Amino acid sequence: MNTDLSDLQQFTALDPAAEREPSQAEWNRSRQAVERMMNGEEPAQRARVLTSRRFAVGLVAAAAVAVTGVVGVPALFPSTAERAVADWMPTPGSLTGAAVLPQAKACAGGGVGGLNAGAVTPDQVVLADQRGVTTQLIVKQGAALAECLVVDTDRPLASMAMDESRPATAAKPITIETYSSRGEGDDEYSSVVGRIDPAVTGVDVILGDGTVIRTTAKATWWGAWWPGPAAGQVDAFTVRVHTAKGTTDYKPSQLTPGD
Amino acid sequence: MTATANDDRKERFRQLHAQTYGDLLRFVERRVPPAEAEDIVSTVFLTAWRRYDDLPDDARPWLFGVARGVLANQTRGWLRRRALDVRMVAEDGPADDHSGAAASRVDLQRAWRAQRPADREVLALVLFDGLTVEQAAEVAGVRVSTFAMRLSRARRRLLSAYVGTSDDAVLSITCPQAIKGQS
Repeated sequence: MNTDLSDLQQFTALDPAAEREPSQAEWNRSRQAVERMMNGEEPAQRARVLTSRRFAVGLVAAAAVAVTGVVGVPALFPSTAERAVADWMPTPGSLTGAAVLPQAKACAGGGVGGLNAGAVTPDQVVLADQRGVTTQLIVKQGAALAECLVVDTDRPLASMAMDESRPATAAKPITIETYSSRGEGDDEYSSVVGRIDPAVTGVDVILGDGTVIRTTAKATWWGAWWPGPAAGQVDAFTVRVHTAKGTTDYKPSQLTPGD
Repeated sequence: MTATANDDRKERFRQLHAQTYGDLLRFVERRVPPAEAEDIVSTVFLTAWRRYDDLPDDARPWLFGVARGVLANQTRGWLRRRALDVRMVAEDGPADDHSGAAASRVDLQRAWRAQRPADREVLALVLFDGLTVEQAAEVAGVRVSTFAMRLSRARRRLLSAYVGTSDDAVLSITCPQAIKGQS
């Protein structure tokens, strides 16, 4: 087996952590955390817990739990999610790319999706859904594409790389790329992102209690986020799609890739 | 478990932490913003402590594999199984005094960014994380032959993209283990 990658040596210059060494403070925090967990103090030691983002597809969730055995993640910045949820509103603000350029740069600054923060321009903001202090963004830079939730203008709450290989079609005018929930209790929130065909004029999310959330739909993408666990559960909300021909309701499982 | 056995176990775990914390933090920071890394690393060690009896002798790839699972779960709920994406050093990162070298860096970045996230991850496991093919396959949760095939394809695509953007795609001779100084 040829495993010689000598011709790729130059690419090690792109390693974002090549020179990274933990600081003394990081060593101390980590050692203290290890001592606490060995003494059985986790998770009781944590003042606040953000659970891992729950998968919306049961099979995937089971696999993830099997791999990680994770029950929770200590939150260093609990107030960020808390403020995001507290300021949420069911109808998003209407935004231009220029209006959310700082958030787009914060999104790209995370490095997810191959975005370059220094080169972000307003026209690269594919979608921006602002509710209170939080903005859901899709930023596209050439082939690089990522979706983020950013609190205020500079605090990324979550991010993921996306791709454009599964567009909606006339036959399937709306899809879901991902839906999930994160957090616990008052901090818990859900989000969804998908693709739409140009025939779609609007998309609403209907929660189990009847709450109607108007989503943001722009170009070929749609998205929204809201407080609560619904997107971490299977088919716990409805997607209402509006076209010139009328309105159709779907369960999320009907809109996921492969369905 | 006796008190002595428990003390021994704790001491071995402290040693494991001392030996792997830096590598694990770097592994995670290559894939998520630094502000999120400490939480994830903490979760990995919590998982490792709870699964102490499962820890192999060569624990580093095992810990990376756990981290990869945590990242997939933490970064977002991924509807389909996707590769994690790998960050790239910022273009306003370490300054380069030589304009030629800076231009080459831009070419490298452009070629890297043009790759699929799955390819970037395969390449990063070996090039950045310093894993052998066997270790990287364990982290990725695939057979060695499968990983080697993916690596070969990713390497070919990356070089193709780089040669297409650079006028002086000089290929130097160093094995990947030597690059990172690890086995």
